[in-house]
Amino acid sequence: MVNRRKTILLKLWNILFLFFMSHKVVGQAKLLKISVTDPQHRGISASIMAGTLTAATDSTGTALMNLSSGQYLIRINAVGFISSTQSIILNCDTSILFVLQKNINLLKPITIEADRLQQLSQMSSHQLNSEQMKLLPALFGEVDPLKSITLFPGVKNAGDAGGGIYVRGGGPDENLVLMDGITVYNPTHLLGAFSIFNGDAVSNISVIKGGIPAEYGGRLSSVISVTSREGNKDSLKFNGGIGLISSRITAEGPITKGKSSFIISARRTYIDQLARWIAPDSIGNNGYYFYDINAKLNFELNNNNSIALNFYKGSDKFNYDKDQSNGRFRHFKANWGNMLAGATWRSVISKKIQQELSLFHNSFELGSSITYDTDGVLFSSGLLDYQLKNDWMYSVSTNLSVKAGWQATLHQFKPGGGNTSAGEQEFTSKINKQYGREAAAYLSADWDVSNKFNIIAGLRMSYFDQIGPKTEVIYGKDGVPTGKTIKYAKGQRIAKYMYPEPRLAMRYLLDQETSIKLSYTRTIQYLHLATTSAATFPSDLWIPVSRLIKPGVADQIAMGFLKEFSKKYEFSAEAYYKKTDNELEFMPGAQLLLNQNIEGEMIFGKGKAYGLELLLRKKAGLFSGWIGYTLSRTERTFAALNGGKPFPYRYDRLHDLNLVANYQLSKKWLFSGLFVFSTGNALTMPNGRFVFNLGYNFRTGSPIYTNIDRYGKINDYRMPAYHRLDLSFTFTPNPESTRRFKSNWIFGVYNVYNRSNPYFIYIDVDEKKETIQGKQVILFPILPSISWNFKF
Amino acid sequence: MKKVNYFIGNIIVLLSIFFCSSCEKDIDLQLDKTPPMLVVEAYINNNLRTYNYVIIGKTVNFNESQFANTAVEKATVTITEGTFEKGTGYRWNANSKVTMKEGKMPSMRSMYIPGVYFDPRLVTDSSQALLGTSGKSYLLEIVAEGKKYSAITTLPNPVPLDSITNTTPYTDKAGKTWARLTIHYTDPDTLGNAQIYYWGNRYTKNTFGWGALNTDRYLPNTDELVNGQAIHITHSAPLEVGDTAYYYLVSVERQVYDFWDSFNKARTNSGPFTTPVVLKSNIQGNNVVGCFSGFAISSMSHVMK
Repeated sequence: MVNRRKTILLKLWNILFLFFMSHKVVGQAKLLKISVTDPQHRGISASIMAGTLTAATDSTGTALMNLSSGQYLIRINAVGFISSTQSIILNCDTSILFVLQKNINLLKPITIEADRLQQLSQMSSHQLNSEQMKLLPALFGEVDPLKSITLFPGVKNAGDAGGGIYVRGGGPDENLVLMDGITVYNPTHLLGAFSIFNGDAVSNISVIKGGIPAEYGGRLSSVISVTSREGNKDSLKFNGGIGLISSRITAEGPITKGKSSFIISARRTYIDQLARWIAPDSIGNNGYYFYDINAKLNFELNNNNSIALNFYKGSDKFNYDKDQSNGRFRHFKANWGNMLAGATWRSVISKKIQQELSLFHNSFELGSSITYDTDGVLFSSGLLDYQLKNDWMYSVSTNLSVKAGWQATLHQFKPGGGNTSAGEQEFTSKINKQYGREAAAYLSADWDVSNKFNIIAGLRMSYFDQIGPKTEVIYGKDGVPTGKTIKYAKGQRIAKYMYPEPRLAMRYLLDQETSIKLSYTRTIQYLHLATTSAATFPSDLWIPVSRLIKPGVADQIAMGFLKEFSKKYEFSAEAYYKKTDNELEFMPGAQLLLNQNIEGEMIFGKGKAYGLELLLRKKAGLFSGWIGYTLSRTERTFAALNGGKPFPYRYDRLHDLNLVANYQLSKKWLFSGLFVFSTGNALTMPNGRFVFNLGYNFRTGSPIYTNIDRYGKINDYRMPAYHRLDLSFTFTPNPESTRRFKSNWIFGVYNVYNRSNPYFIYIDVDEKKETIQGKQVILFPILPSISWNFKF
Repeated sequence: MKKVNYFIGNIIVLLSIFFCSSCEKDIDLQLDKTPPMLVVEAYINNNLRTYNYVIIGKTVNFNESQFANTAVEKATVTITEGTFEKGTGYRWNANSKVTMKEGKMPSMRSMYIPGVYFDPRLVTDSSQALLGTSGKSYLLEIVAEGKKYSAITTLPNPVPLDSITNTTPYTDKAGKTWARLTIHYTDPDTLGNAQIYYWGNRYTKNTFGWGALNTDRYLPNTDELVNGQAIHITHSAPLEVGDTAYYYLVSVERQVYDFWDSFNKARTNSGPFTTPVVLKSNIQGNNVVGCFSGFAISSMSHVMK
């Protein structure tokens, strides 16, 4: 069987190889290099049309196209910028620079032409740039790139303050979240209420839900890619903002004028400082804050070579002390955060070949201490990665380009270690660090079969092994350690997995405004997130595959229909069907922290998701925005849960509706509105209860007992529907001012009609009063916000 | 290790501090109704004859106003002693079979509580009443409402208490002086030992039953991290200086520990941060939940100083 599989794979590689080698160059190809920048010469993401051919710029704003000699009408579209068109006669290798003007604060079109999606081969993808994000009303006025993409169909969030993103039925750990290519494992602050991405430091964010290109892998459901801003290469600039809960400042400028730049952004919340100032006695040392620092350096070495250096550090800090008058006390202190660093070298080797080499490092650390009377817990966990990545693009001819690349990652996981103590007794948990090596290589071809028909076919081979040093404690079936251990030496392989991941995307243009698309994606995931809760906790643990834990496998088919109307409207309809294997859940009541035998608590099952996503977007004009609707079902099947029968996933929601509207009221006033509606999340609720641990008090004549809930079907209860309307108004006092200093005010109202959306539901059982009452906890009632933004 | 649950609890405090705007409201929950399930709470121990008893009840629908035990009366309940040997399995001594009865027991101040089954010899000759022996296994058999149920538990060897001390006393704002119990014992040099901690004091004098004693829900009580070590545990709950603590160090087999572990998790089971915890069970039969707990006890008293 294995040999047969190898033979099939070998044949597949051979066919791809022969196909590329035998493909003859048609006509005399010329290289067209297009660079697209904003007025500050920062590269921007744009889509390019040269005649009927399309391309997209990379993160530096550059695209290379191999075209036959001839006359072309080049059209550049970039979200947030005025489109540009230029006619050229191509008879030699040519470079063109497009400097696009932003279209904010013009009374004409306020937004924002999106890519002409029907022309692109990539399907199931959405993108927002920083200008669009800033238009959206936001909680406390905090621009949140990660939350903004959940306004598109098929991308769901957990509700108020839920940090997880759920794409086409996938779990929160099934999204590859990248910041400038670096994987981010815990992209949220404050349990998911805010993301780690500072709106001022982000250039754009994109999500790919299906038809995932072969260069991406490692997660089952989506790729969420955040590109940070490049610094201004011409002059020193500052911008920032003061909001209700945080302030931001960004400085940017040239290192060498026109050649290299820097940008550094910082953000910090200050609700702790305000509270201490307002009520110093009651707040004491208690408090919470988070901060982020982003920095990026760009060096253009020459016309063909550039280097980018990225850095991010963010942290959450929480302190809580409570001393009671009866001598009991509780202290809790926790710090957690991410650190990301990366260096990327991009080079254009010849008119047909370009490459990108990156070295990345990321880490996440949690440290906490908890004291409750004489009991104490010290707990720390974390992970760190080193990654080397190399991508090549080869333009074989005007209608064929090939991408190939590889990446290798060294993972180190610290699943948690620490002490618990009861008075003088200490219980030291030494949970083994785990080490993993992940590697992948891919080959992908983008072939314009005809003017109308395009195919992108790719194959990714991915590999993971877990290696020593490790001392594995062997547990019996009853969960008791047998006393036996297996020792693995440093570098010794404990388990290994290798999978092929075929990818296929096809587009057929019915006419210049209409296309149909079809894709198939297989994705493999070698890391699982150990969490049992609905919120995103810093204590959630990433765990690699092992001898017992198998990789997650997902297969997705998606079909799409896209149409553009009068260049202002765009409609897309996509249907998908996805099935997954080796989905991970934990036994009810599983102990995840400080558990050497965490594998003993895991159970594995299958998943199924299908749905229809509709999006109608108005791209230009005084009024712009979109309506997105998702009709979907997601279910899981675990032999050990729900009697082996399928049950709805927690975020199975039949209906999701998002309305986004922007309207330029006048030169000074811009209005934005946002309405979201979704079916309530699925929840497991008790269907009965009983008393246990009985005792009798003769003095009072009453029994003593504990109420225990009895559960039936899993996720059989529906929370009330979630809906909310947010509004914001942006006031620019002097929109036509030519002065260097510019500012605006943003006035927002979150949850305008004060909808009581449930954060969670619980049952309050009062044994003394013998009453039972359902309770709904609401996190955010109507919340006004104001922020002042400036730049100079 | 359950203390790490504090982490989650404190995180909830974080949310409530930050979002001081959060609030809650009453809602009407429409929950499913299901047929009742039998609930068995049974104990056999080597130290307290009166604390060997079986309670049989039923589950109720969630919204019912019934709060005390929904007793199942007139069941046939027996406990038989036996031994377990590898290869041959359990051998039950038919002569040891004790039929447990409902009735007015002296330990219950002669109150009749339906659904609570005792050895009737507690009334006639309490010195001969049922008492567990370390190393022996016990078979519980129940016939209730025409259906049969059974369970087996084994008493491990009790781990002796070395001593009990208390922490330095402190005085609270009301002027009362308190201290905390510290117990000292040595974990046996074999992996897989588990303990549960109970103690009585002046406030439990007028009570009866394991459920009326004090216990520690949060302590690590398996020996995976402390195998063979000298243990010195301080319990969080303070006792008043001058009070006398009657301490029971209860050694249990793993199955019984797992049940009480799931019980402690199930009782704190709510909110968005936990998944529903289903109580484990060692009772055999259809539609039944509960535990037959074999307790091997070492006891000691201590006057708080």
